Amino acid sequence: MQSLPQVYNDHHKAILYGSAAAVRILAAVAFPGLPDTLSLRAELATPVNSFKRLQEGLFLYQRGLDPYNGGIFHQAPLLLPLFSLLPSPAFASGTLLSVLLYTGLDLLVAECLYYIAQSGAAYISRRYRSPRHDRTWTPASVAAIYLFNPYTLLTCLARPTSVFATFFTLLSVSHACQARTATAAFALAIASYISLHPALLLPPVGLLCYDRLCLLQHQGRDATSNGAAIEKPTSTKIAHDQRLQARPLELTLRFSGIYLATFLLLLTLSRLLLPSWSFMPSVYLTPLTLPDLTPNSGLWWYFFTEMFDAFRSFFLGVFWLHMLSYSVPFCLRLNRQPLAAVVLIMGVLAIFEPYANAGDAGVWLSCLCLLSHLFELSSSHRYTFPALATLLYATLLGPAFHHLWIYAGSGNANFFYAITLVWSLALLVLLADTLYAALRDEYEAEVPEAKGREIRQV
Amino acid sequence: MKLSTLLALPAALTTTLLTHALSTPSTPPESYTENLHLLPLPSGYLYAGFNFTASTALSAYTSQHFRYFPRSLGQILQYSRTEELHLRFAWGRWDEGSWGSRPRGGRREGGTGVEIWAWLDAGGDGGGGQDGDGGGGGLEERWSALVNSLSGLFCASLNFVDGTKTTRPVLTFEAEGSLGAGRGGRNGSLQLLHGMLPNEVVCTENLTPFLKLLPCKGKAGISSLLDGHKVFDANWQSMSIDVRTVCDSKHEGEGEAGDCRIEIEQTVDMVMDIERSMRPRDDPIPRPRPIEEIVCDESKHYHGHDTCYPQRREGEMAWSLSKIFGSPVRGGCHLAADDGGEEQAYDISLEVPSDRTVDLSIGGRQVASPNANVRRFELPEQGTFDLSLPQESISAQSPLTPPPLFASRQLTGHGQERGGMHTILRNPHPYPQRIVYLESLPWFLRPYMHTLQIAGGGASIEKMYYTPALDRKRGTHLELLLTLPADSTVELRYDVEKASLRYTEYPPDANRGFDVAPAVIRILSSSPSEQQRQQQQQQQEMEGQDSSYYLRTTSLLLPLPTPDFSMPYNVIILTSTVIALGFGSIFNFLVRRFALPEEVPPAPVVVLARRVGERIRGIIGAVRRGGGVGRDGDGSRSSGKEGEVLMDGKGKGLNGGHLANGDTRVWEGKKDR
Repeated sequence: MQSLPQVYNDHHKAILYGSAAAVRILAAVAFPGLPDTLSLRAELATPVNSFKRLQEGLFLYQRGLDPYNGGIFHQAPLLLPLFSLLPSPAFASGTLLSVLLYTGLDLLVAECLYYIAQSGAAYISRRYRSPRHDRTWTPASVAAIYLFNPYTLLTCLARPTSVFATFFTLLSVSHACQARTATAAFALAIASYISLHPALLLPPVGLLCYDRLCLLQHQGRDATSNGAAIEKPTSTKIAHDQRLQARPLELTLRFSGIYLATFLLLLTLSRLLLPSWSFMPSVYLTPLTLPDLTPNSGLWWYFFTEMFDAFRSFFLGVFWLHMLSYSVPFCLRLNRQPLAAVVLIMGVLAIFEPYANAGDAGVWLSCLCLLSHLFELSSSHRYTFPALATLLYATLLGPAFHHLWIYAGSGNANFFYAITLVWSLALLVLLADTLYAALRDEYEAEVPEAKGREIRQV
Repeated sequence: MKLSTLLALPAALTTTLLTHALSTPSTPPESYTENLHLLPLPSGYLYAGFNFTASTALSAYTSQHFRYFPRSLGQILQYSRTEELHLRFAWGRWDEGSWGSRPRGGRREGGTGVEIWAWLDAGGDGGGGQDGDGGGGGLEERWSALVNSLSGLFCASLNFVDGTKTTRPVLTFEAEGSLGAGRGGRNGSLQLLHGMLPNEVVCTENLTPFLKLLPCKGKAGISSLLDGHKVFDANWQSMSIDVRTVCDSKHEGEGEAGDCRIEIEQTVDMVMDIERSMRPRDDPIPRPRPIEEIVCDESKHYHGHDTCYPQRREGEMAWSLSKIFGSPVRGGCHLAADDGGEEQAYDISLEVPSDRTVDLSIGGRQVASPNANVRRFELPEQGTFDLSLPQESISAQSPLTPPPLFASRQLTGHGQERGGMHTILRNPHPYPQRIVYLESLPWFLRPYMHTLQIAGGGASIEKMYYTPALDRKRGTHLELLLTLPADSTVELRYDVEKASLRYTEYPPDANRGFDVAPAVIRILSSSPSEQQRQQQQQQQEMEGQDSSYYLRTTSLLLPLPTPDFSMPYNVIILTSTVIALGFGSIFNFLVRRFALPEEVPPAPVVVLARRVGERIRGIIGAVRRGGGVGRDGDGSRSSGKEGEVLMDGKGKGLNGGHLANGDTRVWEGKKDR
């Protein structure tokens, strides 16, 4: 009996990963129809990541046709050779194998989250140390939140290809936390290649890389007093900045250079696979112009269903400018907490992306746990509980209202639309609360007497 | 009519002379024939098939000499460089179970609505010299010119056959004539384009221009029977127009224009309910017949003096042409005979068992026929012609030709998100058949071809042509070459997804759904028994056409998810509000910094407001003090509220002098009392 806790203490990660994998595989085995049912849900599968559409693309690809010469398949070309290795999911074994693949991906994502949480990038940076750094959750619990998040579980069974983008995004972030510029840029390029939006993470991930690099170099130089450097970041700030004066530009060039080179390399590889460049508009213009208005959990589809034709391109431009408008301001304001900037921009993408899905939102909610030291602030000063309650409400009512509209016919499109509005609103409130908490934490580090007091904004 | 005849005559004569000098073609280039085939079908239906064929020498046609060929159509075809045109207007369903094989092998019928396919010259300016200035653009432009012109000519919505409804079938259609004959046998640049409009309602406005194309314009000959009320009251009707170039086979290789002629074949096929059609026109409402006229079945046990079970009709129904079509045939339309050409053999043929009585009106003439079951009649030049058959019991029923294939297609599944397409093909014959299955789906129906399954009977796909749909640009084109084993039922199914459209793309009756064009099935060849093959060959020789049989399924109704059409403004406002809320609260945090309450310097507005408040307070105080004086005076006069005034003076007063003054006044006032 005593050995059990000991096993748990020694191998908690293995137990965690093992149980997460077991849950997924058991769900797929016990309910053989579940993966296929979930892969058709509008909330999980969108036109740009649906597993069924991927199968259609594969079908055309394997028969030598151009899969992008049609309105169904809009996913990255390099996924085709990868998935053509798997047996057809028309049979139970194929379905199970694909679930296994996605389970593996989920474990890798959890591993990335584990490393990010372990690196401490959330609360220690070059010029900043959170006064709440002791309140952060253990890496294993962050990974556990990701692995047992119901959104993640459902996404794993629904098998959208956006999980690949998620994995490469988090891989890039975890490499950035270890100050590996080249691999971070490389992974981010792959993520952008798969679903385009992670390109907006370029500035914050670059900032994170720079920050971690400076911190690690400083730690390396002051190897004798490793802890002191972290404890008194403000005192050594000026000296560091002078020593590292030449670095930011060089790093930016290197980072974006590797990013661009990888992206171009991937495009070239795709072109070699396919008969024409037609994949470019099909993969990258579809999220930009929204030709397919299949309902999803985001804000775009109903807006552009109801939009007057004359204003369609104008509002597409406005929506894209709006998404672009977050990246740089977040980096400027949160330059002392680059990981918070990364997580918040991931949230912006999950809420405002054209083909939003619950999977991306679930990943973002799990990533929020990386900033777990801020929860105290956001829950005591902001609206975290109402937002979470609303999220739960939207999660339960969303599928019900979708059913009422599409199948029962007793409700109309406004039912589902209203729920997507509520869902986005709840996520937005969470995003704003986290931003508040991050900024307040930074403020309290400067002004310790503000702790627990009411403060004003000027 | 006369003038054009005079003008066209020299050209026609020269062509005729020329062709006669070169060779002796079996058919003269200028000809016009028309005939009507009548066939009573089981359970009180009558099939009537009208056929009008006119032809003109190709050389005359290219030099704009039209004789029997309609000029309006000819010019459209020349402008759009169309070599062969097939146009169909159809409505209703041919009941294969009870009516047997389709008339004309299904080659002259279309899917529900309007169907068009044509071979157009895709080349640039090459060979287009004689076409005038028109059609200089690309193939799409010419196709668009063709469908738009035909739309005007036939009062049909053919102009809606745009890129999303146009497909290019590979196997399903074959040119009936010799393509490229007009351009020196060069047919490499010819392209087949095919379009369907399943939601088009075919009606009188399409029949009138159709009749206008005929030389007798529906005034004489069998076309005088075609009346919109009757044609569109039929259970099934199909109008077709086919234009093709026919060349003499020995000269085809040389491709001399003089040997070829352009032929237009117009047909109207319909199946009428005899009883329904024979209702008197002035009283079309069906009413119960008076009891005296009904023959009762007295063998029923419930037969009594007040109950009557009508006796089952015995034998064939009585009918006559004038009753079914509303009027008798008004004279003949023997134009070829007037020109000294070959006289046409007959006008009307009636396929009834040989022992059935047929009464002819005066003037009509029965002519010899090779088959005893088919009687042929000739129309009189003047006067009317009628044909009537009494009610009779005929023992010998003419057997129905069994259809080569049964096909049905339906959308499965429920809900407006996704479903399945399900086609059942049944081969009732003891020999395998090869078929081509063509489907052209609108772009908003997204088929998943990886789910395509063929179940039952061991059928296999030999070839598959698939062009996926592009949103708002192109529809799906699917063509399958299948072999159906003997006596088998084959099911073809695949999953489809129903797209959500922009709200402006829905028709006004959005919740009715969208029409999906019928599937076209072509039976390529079968290996029937020897006897059937001979029969087929005979038929083939008779009609001079290939032996493939066409068959179309019914069109489908596709419900799509609909948005709420009443609230574009609300949606724009609500979504924008949510986005603005997020944007506002995020940038509120990003652009402002935190401060402790005591650090916060008062905002200029607050300072200003405070100052204004102080001043106002001062003024109020002053006014109140002033007012107190006034009221004191009033009080003193109106003998009122001493206590109140006193309080006021005490409470507010800071200036001692005034207070004293007030007090004294109050006091004085009191004293006054």
